[in-house]
Amino acid sequence: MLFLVFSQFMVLDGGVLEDDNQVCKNEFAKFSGSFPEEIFSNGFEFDVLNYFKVENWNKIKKNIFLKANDNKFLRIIKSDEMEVYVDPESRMKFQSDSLVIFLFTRYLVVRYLKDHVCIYSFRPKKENKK
Amino acid sequence: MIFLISGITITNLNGGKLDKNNSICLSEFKSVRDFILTESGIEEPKILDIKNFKIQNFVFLIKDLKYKLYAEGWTFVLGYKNNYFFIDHTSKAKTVYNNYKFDYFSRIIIARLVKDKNICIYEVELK
Repeated sequence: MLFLVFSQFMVLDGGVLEDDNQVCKNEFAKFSGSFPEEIFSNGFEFDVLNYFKVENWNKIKKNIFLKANDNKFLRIIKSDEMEVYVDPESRMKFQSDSLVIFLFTRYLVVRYLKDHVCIYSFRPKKENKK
Repeated sequence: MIFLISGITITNLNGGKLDKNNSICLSEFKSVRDFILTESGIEEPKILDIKNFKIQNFVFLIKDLKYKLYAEGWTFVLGYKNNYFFIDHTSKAKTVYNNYKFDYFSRIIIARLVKDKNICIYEVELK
């Protein structure tokens, strides 16, 4: 299943996959604090972390939206800079202080840069993983 | 058992004071709406309820808001650019756009910090 998601976001009509995704790693640090600290306090594990040079903005945006939908992600927000989706099946129970809460543990985030786009699918980092 | 009731039931928040004048929130709504409009053919977001709080202590207020919405069954998704997004996970709806079917969440709460003085809390329906 992970392989399917990974391969789905390696080819996007309207963009060319770049070999080096260091830019995306740097970008991620700018907004990683946006997500619920209760689940991401140990950091993030990426299922997908891809960097594309955009050749056609309309095509690539549409293609991302449709592929996200195919992979059962639901979009929560969009802006000129970013789109955020969640996997509705990833909703899990957490204990926060004295309250039992539910949060999503699998996100898909699309970050739009000047002429590139970063695609991230991530989950909470497992504890005690070396 | 958790029930989500339409309409924001929160009338007091630790760190904030309820302001019954919603004019600042109404004029701010365009900025909120821009985050949730889709190209999917879904109509304009409909405001189900608005609550406006004067901020006395921002950290306390956000913490209390999250806990009260959690307790009512809302799921916090992210805080982004002075907006805090919560969804009703039971509000999964379907639509069709360009002959393509897809799912979305139709009920969202967005709490937006306005000029560091107010928090506007909107419950919004997308249909």
